[in-house]
Amino acid sequence: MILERSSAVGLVSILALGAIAFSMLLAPWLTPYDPLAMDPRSQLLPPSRAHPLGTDLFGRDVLTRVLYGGRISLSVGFLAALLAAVPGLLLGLMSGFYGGFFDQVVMRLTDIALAFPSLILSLGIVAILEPGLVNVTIAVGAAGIPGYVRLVRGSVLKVKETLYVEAAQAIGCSNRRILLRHILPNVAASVLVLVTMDVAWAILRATSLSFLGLGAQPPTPEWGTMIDAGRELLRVAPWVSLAPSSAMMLAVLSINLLGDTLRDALDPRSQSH
Amino acid sequence: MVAFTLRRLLSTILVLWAVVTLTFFAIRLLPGDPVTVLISQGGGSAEDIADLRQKLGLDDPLPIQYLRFLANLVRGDLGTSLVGRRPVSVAIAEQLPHTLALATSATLISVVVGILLGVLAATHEGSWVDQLCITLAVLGVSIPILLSGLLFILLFSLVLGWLPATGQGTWRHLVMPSMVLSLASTGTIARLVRTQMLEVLPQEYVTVARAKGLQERVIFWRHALRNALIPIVTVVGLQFGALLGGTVVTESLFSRRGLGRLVVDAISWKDYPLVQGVVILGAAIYVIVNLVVDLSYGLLDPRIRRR
Repeated sequence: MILERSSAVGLVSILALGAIAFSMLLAPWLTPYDPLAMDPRSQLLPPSRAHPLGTDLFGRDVLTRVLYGGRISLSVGFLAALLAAVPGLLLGLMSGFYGGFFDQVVMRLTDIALAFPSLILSLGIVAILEPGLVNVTIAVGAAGIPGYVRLVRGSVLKVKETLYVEAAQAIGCSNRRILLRHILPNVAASVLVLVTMDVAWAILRATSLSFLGLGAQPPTPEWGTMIDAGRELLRVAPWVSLAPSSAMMLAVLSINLLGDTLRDALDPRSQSH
Repeated sequence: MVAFTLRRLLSTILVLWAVVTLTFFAIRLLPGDPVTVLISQGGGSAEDIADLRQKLGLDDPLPIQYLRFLANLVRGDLGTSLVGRRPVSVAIAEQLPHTLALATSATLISVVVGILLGVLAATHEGSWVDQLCITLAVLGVSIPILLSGLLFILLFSLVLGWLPATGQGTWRHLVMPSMVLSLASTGTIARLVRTQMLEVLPQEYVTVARAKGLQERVIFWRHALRNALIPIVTVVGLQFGALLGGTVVTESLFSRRGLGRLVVDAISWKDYPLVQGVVILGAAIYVIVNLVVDLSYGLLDPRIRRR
C-alpha cells in the first residue's frame, strides 16, 4: 500500500498539493480581483481583510497574483517534467534494450550533456531559443533528459537479465512486446518517482529563469517575475516578494515530500534518509 | 594509479572537446543571425552588416570557422564580444574572481557545516540532537535561494542591520550570499555524512579502537569519518556544479557582479560569443573539479592507490 510507510508525511503532502492545485484552478472564483488590473489608489497596502497578502506597487492584489502565478508555475513544472521524461524514457529503453552502436552514441551524448552544470545548460538553451516562458519550459525540460536516460537504461540493463525476460524471448515474444509488457512496468516505478521530484525541480528552475528576466515577462503574474519586482520593495513592502517565494517553497516542498513517500512505497531498497 | 590518472585525464580532454564542439555548432546551426540582429537594433545599414560579418569571419564556411575557433581557444582566445566589441576572455576574466569567491566560500561553508551537522547527528543517533540536525538539513535542502535570500536580507540587513544587502567589496558583502548559496549543499552533505557515519560506526575497527581505549572524539573524526569520506567527496564535486549554477541566481538577488550577471545580460543582448564563452567555461570548471575529485580518491584511500 502506498501510504503504509511514513504515511503521515505522505498524507499531509497529498493534502497540501491538493489544496494548492485546487486553489489555483479555482483562482477566478476564489478572488474578486483581476491579476492585471492596476489600481493607483491601493498601492503597496499591507495585508488586510480586503487584501490578505497586501497589494503590489501597481495596487494589484498579491494573493490573486500568487494564485494565478501558481497556474503558470505548476503547468510549466509539469510540462517541463514531461518534456524530460518522455524522450528520456524512450531513449533509455531503446539504449538499454538494444545496446550496440545506438547505445554508445546515446551514452556519449548524455555524458556530454551531464558535463554542463544543469542551470548553465538551461541558460545556453534559452540563449539559443530566445528568452520567453515557452522556451524556458523547453530549456528546463531538455536539461532533464539525460537524467532519465541514465536511470531508465540502468534499470533496463538489470531487468533484461532476469529469467522472465529470457522466458519471454524463448517463447518467441517480439522485442516490442518484451519492451512494453515486461520491461516497461519494471522501470515505471522509478521513473514515476523521478517525474514527481522533477516537477518540483522544474518549478524552481523555471521560476529562477523568470526571476533572471529570461522567462515570463511582467506584467504576467508569474512567481519569478513577482519576486524580481518585489526585491527592490523588500524594505517597504516585504509581502510583495515573500508571498510568491513562500508559495513556491510550499509547492516544491509538498511535491518533494510526495516524491519521498512514493519512493519509500514503491522501491523499498532506496530509502530516503 | 598512473594508468587510472592518465585514462581519466584523456577522457576529461575528450569531454571538454565535445562540450566545446557541441556549444559551437548548437549556437551556429540555429536560425537567426546575431550580426543582423545586432546591427538592425542599432539602426545600421546592409553595408555595415556585410562589413561586420567579414570582420568577425562569419562569411567563411562553418568547418573553417570551427577550426579557427578551436585554434583560438587553445590560445585562450574566446572571440570578440558583439556588444562591447572586446575580447570575451577579458570580459570573463573581470567577472570570474567575483563568482569564484562566491562559489568557493559557499563550498567551504557547506563542507564544514555539513560535516559538523552530519557527525553530530550520527553520534547522537535517535536523540533530539539528531532530530534537530536532520530537520535543519531537510530545511536547507528544501528552501529555494529565492526565499532564503529574501529572508536573510530582511533579517540581517533590514531588521538587524548587521550586513549590507547588496553590492560587493568587503568580506561582509560575501557573508550572506555565500550562506544562502550554501544552504542546499550543506543539507545534502549533512544527510550523506550522517548515513555514511551510521554505516561505518558499527564496523569492527571502530569497536577495536574503542577497546584500545581511544577517545570517542578521535574515533569519530580520525577513524570513522576518514572511511566515510569517499562518497562525501564525490557529492561535494557534484554539488559544485549546482553551486556554480546557483551563483547566477544569487548574484542577481544580491545585485553582485559576476559571471551570472554577465551571462544573463549577454543572453538579453544576443551576444552569442559571450554566452558561448561563459557556457564553455562553466562546463570546463565543473568537469575539472570532478576530475580533481576522482583523482583525490587515491589520496583518501590507500587501497585505490595500489590498484
